[in-house]
Amino acid sequence: MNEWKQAYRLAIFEMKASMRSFLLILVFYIAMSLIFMQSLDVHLEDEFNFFDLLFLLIFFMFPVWMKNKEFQMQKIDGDLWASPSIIMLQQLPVSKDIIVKSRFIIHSFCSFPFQLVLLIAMPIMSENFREAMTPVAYTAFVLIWLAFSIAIGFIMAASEAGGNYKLKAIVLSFIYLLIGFAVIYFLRPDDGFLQLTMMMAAEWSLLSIVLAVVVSIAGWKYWQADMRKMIKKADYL
Amino acid sequence: MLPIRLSKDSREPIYHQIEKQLKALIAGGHLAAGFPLPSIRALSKELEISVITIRRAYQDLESQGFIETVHGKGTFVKEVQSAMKQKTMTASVRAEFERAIQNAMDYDYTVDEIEKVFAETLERLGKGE
Amino acid sequence: MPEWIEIKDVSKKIDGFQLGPVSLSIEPGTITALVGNNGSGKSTMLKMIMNLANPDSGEIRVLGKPVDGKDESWKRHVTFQPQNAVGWNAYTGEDLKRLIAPLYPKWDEAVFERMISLFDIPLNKRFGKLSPGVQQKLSLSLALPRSTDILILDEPTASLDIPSKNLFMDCLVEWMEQEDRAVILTTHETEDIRKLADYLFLMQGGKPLGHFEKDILAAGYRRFWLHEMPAGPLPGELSRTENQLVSDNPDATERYLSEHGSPVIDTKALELEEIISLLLK
Repeated sequence: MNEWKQAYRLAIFEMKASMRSFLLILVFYIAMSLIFMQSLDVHLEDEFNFFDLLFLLIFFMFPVWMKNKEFQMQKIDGDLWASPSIIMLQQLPVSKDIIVKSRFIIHSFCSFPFQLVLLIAMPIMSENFREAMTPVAYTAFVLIWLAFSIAIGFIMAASEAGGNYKLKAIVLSFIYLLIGFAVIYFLRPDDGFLQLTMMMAAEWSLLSIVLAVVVSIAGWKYWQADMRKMIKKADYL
Repeated sequence: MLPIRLSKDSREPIYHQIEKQLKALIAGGHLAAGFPLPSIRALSKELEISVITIRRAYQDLESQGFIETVHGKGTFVKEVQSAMKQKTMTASVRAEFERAIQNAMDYDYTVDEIEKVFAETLERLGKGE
Repeated sequence: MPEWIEIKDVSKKIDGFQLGPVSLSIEPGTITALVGNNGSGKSTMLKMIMNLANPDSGEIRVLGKPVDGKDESWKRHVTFQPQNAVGWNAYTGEDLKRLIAPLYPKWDEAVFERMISLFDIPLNKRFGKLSPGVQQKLSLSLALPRSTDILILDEPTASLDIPSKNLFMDCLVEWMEQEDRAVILTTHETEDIRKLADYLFLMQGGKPLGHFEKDILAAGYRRFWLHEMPAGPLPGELSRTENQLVSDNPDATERYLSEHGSPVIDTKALELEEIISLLLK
C-alpha cells in the first residue's frame, strides 16, 4: 500500500509538470471525439463501417497522444528507446516496483477519463444504442471495453520500460496488430468490433462481466510484471 | 593554510617532507599548542597529495607527540616539551649541515676545504649581525 | 569491514566493444578517479554500478548488497550524477529538489541553499532551458546535499567555468569531511585528479590498466638529464632523447648510472598529466 502512495506521489509530480498542456489536450480530444460520436447512430444502422476502425484508433491511441512530448518514449541513445522518466527514477532510490506502479498510474490518468467519456457518450448520443442496451448490458459493455483498455492499452505503459528495441521489432508488432484486426473484419464484415462487443454484452451479460473483470485484473498484473522484467533486463546506457 | 612547501623532485618521501616541516613549525614555536591543523582532506587538496600520504604523516606526528586528534573535532598541535623542541631543532640543524656537506662531497671537496668554507661562511654571517 | 563498492571480474560486450574483465574495490574515506580515453568504458562501468545496465559476467556489490538483487535499499546510500541528466528537462530546479529531497533521509537543505546561492542558479527555470554549465551546477547542487555514503560523478566539472570548478572542489572537500564517505568520479581534468583524487583507476579500450595510489604513481616516474647517454636500453628506461631519459623505475636507473659512472646533471619527477599520457598511449 505504501508503495502505491509513493508511486502516486511520483506520478502526480510528473503530471503536474505538464498539467496545462494535459488539460488542453484532454478538452480538445473530448470535443473532437464527441463530434465524431455523432455518427455512431449512422454506424449502428450498418452504414459507415469505417467508424469502427476510427473508434478503435481513438480509443487506444489517444492515451498515448495525451502524454507530454517530454515524457513520451523516445530514442535515448543508439538502439535504446525508453521513457526518460524511467531512466531518471532508476538513478534515484526508487524501487523498480514503485517505478512500474507510477507509470501505471500515469497511464490510467491518461486513458480512463477519456475512454469513459467515449463510453458514456454512446447512450447519450445514439438512440439506436439506447434501444439495443439494457442497463445490465450497458454495464457489461463498459466493463468489456475497460478490460480491452487494460489488457491491450497497458502494453503501451509497459513498453515504456524500453530496452534496446530494433526498429524492425516495432514495425513487426504493428503489422501483427493490423493482421489481427483484418482477420476480424474478414470474419464479420457487417458488424465490426464495436457491434460484436455490444452483442456480447447484451446476450451474455453476466458472462461478459465476469470475463471482463478477470481479464482486467489479469492484464493489470501481467503487464506490471512484464514491465518489471523489462526494466531489469534492459541496459540503460 | 600552512606554509608547507613540498618538493616533488626531491627523493625524500613526501610524507617525510610534511612531517619534517610540520615539526619545524611546531618546535620553532610558529604553531602554538592548541592550534587547529587543517583536516586531512583539506590538506590533501591544498598540497595535491593523496589523503593516504597525509594520514601517514599525521599518524607519525601523533605517535611522536607533536599533534593530537580529538574525535569529531579535528587535529590540534600538542604542548611540546622543551627537551623535545630542543631535540627537534638540533635534528633539523644537523640535517641541514649534512645536506650541505654531502653537496660539497659530491663536488669532490676535501675535508680541509669543507672546513675552510664553513669557517668563512660562519665569519661572514656572524659579521652581518 | 566490507568494501563499499566491490566490482569482481565484471565484463560486458556492447556492440562489439568488450568491456572488462574489471575488478575494483572502493573503501570509505577515499576519492577514486576513473581516468581513460574517450570510449574506454568508464561511464558504462558507473552505470553498471547503479544497476542501469547488466554485466554479462561478474558481480557488483554496493555496501555488501548485490546491485541486481531484490533488495534495492542500497540506492538510498548512493548518489549518481550521470553525464547527461535524462528526464530532467521539463522540471525546474525547485521541482527537482521537491522530487529528490524526500527520497534521501539525510538531505541537507542548508548545503543545497548554500550551493544554489554560491553558483547563482535560477530555481524557477526549466532544466532544459539552462545552459550546460548551469545544468551541471544545478546537478551538483542536487547531488551533494543528499549526504549519501557514496557519490558517483560522471565528469562533474566538464562544463564548469574556472571559479565554479574551484567552488565545486571546496564544496566536495567539505562534503568529504562530514563522515566516512567515498567518491568515484570520471574526469579528463588534471586539476580534478591532482587536487581531489587519492586513487586513480586507469582504463583503455575497455581494459583496466591499473589501480594506483596517486602519490606512489607520481613518485614512480622520473626524467634524468645526462651528460652522456649510455648505449643500449637502461633498466627502467621508457624513452630517451639526446640527453634526457624517462624512467618508470628511477631507483634502478639511478643505481645503474652510478655504477657505470654516468654523471646525472639533474633529475625531476614527471607531472601526473605526463604519466597518465604515457600510460594511456
